[in-house]
Amino acid sequence: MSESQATLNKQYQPSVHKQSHARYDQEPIIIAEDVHKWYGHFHALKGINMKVWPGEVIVIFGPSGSGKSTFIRCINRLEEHQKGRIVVDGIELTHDVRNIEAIRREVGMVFQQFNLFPHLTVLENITLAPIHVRKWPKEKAEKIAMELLARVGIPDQAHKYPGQLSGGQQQRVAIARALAMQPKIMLFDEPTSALDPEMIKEVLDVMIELAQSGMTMLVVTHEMGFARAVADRMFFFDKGQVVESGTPEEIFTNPKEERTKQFLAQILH
Amino acid sequence: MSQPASQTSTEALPPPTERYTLWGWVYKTLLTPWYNLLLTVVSLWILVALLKGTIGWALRARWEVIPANIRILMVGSYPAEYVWRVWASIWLVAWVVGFSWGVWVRRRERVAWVLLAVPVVLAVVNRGPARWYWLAALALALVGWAVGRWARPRKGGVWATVQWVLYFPVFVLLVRGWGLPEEPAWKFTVAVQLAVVVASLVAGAWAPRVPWVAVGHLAVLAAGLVLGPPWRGALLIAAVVGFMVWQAARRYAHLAGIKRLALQVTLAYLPLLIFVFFAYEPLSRTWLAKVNSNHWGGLLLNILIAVFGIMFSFPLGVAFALGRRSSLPVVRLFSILYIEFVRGVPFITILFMAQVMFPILLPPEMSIDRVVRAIMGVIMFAAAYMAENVRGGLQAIPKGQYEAAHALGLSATQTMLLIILPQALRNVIPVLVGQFIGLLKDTTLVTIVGLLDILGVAQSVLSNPTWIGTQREVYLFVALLFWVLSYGMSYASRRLEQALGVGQR
Repeated sequence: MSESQATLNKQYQPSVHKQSHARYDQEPIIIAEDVHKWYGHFHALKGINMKVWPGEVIVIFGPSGSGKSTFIRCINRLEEHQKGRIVVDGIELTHDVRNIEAIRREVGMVFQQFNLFPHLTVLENITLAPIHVRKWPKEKAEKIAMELLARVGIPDQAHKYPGQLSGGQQQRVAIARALAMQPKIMLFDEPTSALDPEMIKEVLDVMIELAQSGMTMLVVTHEMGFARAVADRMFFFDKGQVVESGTPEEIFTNPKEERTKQFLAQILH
Repeated sequence: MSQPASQTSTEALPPPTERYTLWGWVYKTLLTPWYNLLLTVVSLWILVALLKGTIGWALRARWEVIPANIRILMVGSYPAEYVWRVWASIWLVAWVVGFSWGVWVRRRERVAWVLLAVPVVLAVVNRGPARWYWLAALALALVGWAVGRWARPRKGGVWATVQWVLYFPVFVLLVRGWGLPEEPAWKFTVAVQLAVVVASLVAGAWAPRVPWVAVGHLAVLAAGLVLGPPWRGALLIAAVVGFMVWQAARRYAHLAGIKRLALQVTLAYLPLLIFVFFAYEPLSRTWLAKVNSNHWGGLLLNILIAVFGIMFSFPLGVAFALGRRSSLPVVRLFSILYIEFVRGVPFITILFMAQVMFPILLPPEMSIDRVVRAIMGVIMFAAAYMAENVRGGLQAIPKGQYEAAHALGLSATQTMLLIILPQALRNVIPVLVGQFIGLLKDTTLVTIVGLLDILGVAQSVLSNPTWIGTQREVYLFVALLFWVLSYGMSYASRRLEQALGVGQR
């Protein structure tokens, strides 16, 4: 057992039997080809290539400012890429607003800062998009919302406001809110970075359960315990580029690039 | 309940409490030590010196000036035989407030007693028939409350909203009355207009997926062009309104109640026709005869201007606030120019300009009267300030709220209406209500352009030889009225903030 493996064991340790749900026989659900992004003169993404197959769990990690958040925010067009192409579920992201809205209906997102709607109750947060975007009747939306709240373990908080919940509970509501649209893909942008250590576990448990149900997930995180438990592939970003990618075994036990080794040593010390 | 100081257990302790008797409080804060005693004596002396003169004056003042002129102070030169219409609008608002209270609040809170005290106090203060009219308002409020309590919450809520929406047109209708259209064929044009609108509603609700209904609207438009006046204008309006109703009905056709609503409106068409053909003309000659706006005056005029100013400047202000943040350069530039222009000009200048400029801007056959011009000036002025206040609220919403809404697939309009505006407006309630209060008080400035609002009436009363030297009484009365109205608004806004949990969630 390598040194990083040993320290990994001290971290978050989900007790799951690892089992991949990736369906590599199908067409890729996300295709990113030579994606570039500039903020003014700053070159934030320098030609990212990535293919994600249905059911895959992808973990993206890297130092801050490496472009990992920017990249997953390009997938549902919260950021606009300026060169290259991104195809999600057969629809290419262009300036066409209808394409963007169609993709956003199929792609759920969970943010670092939760971004719940503070003026709505937990239940209203979850049912809002199904009622107004999917045009479901209120009763159906509420029934599904209650099932999702039970799934993330907080069915008794439905009528509270987000401000009355703990950080971990808020993030679980945010996951339920994204799942209520019944998306094909879930994006997680550092979902546990704003949480107290005690609350990280409850959110990761929900995410692991989600991964095991066969959801396609792109997760930006430094929770290497989570990555080892459920990730199919990992991507290491640095300075707007993919430095290295591979299975968790390859990355943890035998990283090829010096930069990857350095970074892993830092976060797993 | 003090615990021994040495106790080190981890059990929760009650917070320390300090209790005073009244005498204890007086002794501790007013009488000891010696400098507090000195301050108390000096303060009492100043208070007595100030109050002695005031109370002496109040006892000797000629308060009879108020009851003698109460009617013109309240409604100006509004014809005496139609004043009952103003009373009717007060009774209606008493009913609607009572009903909404029963539906939405349901409990007997302290505020309810404050609200009920208004007609009670007014009934006690007034003499003659006015006393009975206020008691009638009180009775209607109580009946409305009982009916609201008895109604089922959900249905009652819909009814309360409908009543509030209907109240303002009905209020204007009662105060203004009806004029007879000059065009002799008006009954037929109105009947056709109503038919087009009803048909559009039914088509949109029952067959939302049929797009060629729009051809019908074009046909109505074409028919109007062929037939010439008076049908041209009438059918143009019918086609435009019909098209909008049709689109709205299509859009909400998935909602449960829309088909039933279309059916109800269709059934209401026949009674409406009977009304237009047989009831409208007699009513407009007798009970509901038109009272021209140059007869509107007194507090009624202030309230009318304030109500319209608030109702129209608010949406307009929100629109300008959004326009100023728009990504479309033309919209943004226009909003900025408008806001900065209006804010750079004194209110009185705008009032004068509204009087002299609108007649130039509008075609000569369209004349709008002085009151409407003043109201438009107030709306223009208030909208610019409203826009900046709302913009402040919009800027306080974090970017993450937009991102979360977009990520869920909400459109830009839905994001604005469902996520951003509710939060932004809730945050600026205190500022907006402050502006509404200012607007109410600023309505007295219309005196300057020659309208007889309560201040104008007060001045004309004071120039009457009988009442010379009663400035103090009259202006104090006016001040008291405005204080009651403004404080009522401020109180209501604080209750609203509590109900919406401002600052808590």
